[in-house]
Amino acid sequence: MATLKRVEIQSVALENASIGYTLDDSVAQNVNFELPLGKNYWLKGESGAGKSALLKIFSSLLVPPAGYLKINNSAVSEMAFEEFLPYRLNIGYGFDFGGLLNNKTLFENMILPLEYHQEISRNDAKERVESYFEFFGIASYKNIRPALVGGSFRKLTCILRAFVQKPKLILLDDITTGLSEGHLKNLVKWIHSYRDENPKCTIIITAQDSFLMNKISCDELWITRGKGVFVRTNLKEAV
Amino acid sequence: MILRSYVLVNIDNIGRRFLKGIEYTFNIIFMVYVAIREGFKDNAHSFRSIFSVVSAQIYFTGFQALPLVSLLAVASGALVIVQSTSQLSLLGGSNMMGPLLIAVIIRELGPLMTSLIVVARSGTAVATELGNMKVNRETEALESMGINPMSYVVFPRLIGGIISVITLAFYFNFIALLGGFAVTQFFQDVPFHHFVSSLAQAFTIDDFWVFLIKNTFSGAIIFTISSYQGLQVSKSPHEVPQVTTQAVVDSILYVIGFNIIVTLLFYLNKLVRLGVF
Repeated sequence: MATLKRVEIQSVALENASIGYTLDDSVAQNVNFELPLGKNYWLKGESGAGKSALLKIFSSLLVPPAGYLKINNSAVSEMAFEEFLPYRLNIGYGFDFGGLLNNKTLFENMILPLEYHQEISRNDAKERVESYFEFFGIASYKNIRPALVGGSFRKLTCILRAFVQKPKLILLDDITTGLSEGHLKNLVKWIHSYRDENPKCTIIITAQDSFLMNKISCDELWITRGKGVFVRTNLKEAV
Repeated sequence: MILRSYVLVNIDNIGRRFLKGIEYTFNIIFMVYVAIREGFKDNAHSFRSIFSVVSAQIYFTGFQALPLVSLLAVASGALVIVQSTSQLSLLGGSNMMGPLLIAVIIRELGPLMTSLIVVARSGTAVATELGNMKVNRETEALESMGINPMSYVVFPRLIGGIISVITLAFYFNFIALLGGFAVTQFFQDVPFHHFVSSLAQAFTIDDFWVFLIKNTFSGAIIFTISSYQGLQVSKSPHEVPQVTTQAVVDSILYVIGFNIIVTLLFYLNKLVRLGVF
């Protein structure tokens, strides 16, 4: 077993940050925002408002063109890959498209981070991944490569991989697009059960339609062009 | 006045290209350093995960290239041996066959031909694969899982590539000498023991070092440039063939340049030993 230990995420904050991929196309500048942790958020904003960019910045897949993302009061951009790794293990990211390794089966894609970091034994990792596939009733597809299964299976595997390391901050980009209705219903149940198991986790979701979001109790996290990021508490009872 | 500005513009362009070339070379060297550093430093990297990628790279680059390498080795070996034996016997220097074969096949042709085959087969494959991985956001996904693409993707390809180039070059030399000798038996009668003993007498430890240095660094050059170019793809699939072409051109240029430098240094060293300098 590896000796690497993950670090609990106590705070996530933007400090004088620009939101965007480059400074020229940034949608908001000098953003100062601390994300209240332990809740579900529906990240909202107009098309092109920078929702995906903000998720990538929170996941530190993207360095803000200006300013800092600070996790536990440490600037992420000043950390080397291995220095950030203990935090990274507590962050899961589901891509809006792509993101699965094409030369691996769905099962291998899911088990990869568990096998790589060896936080749990191989048998436990296999058991965990098997249980995920069984929950969604897609176990018969697990040994097929992504190119040979339907888009909904690919999307679902990519979303579930964000959960497989049991992170405390989960960022899911555009999860409703490309997901079948059956998978979507199961995903709502899944998110509820994950929250029950991990009450301190934070889940941020961007979604095009309200079908899924109306069934998840969540606050609204808004990003608006030129104004920045803010939270609107809009708790809805879970259906 | 116009001529002066024309000359200045051209000098400026040459200088700019030269500086870009130096910057590119440093980027490649830096990437080798980062890949090796991350490969060894990555605590999470399990032997199992790296072994599977290295062995796949060796299978693809080394094992699958054997038929093509065999064919080219026999052909080039036969040509060199036929030419050398016929020309040397005309000049009355058939005892020079061993040193000539060592110089031409083991020191020059083996490393260069092997590298060119590897560039054509595997350099293109690596650049395309990594380019497509970037487009499909696979490298980003690895990063999101806490897996460094440098240690998981580049490092095993680099190691697998170097091992493959060294073993393929050894195989090329062996087949070129042996197969070439067998082919020449159809045209000329050269005794096998004479052939082997002339090779054994001509082979020195310097030849071993030249062989090892050329092939090790050629492998590193090919797989680093191919990986570097593949990772230059930003988002669009149309960039993939562009970076693949660039990887081939750059790999060939750098491999030939490196081979020439090693050969020059080898002969310079010989001249120093002979007391010329």
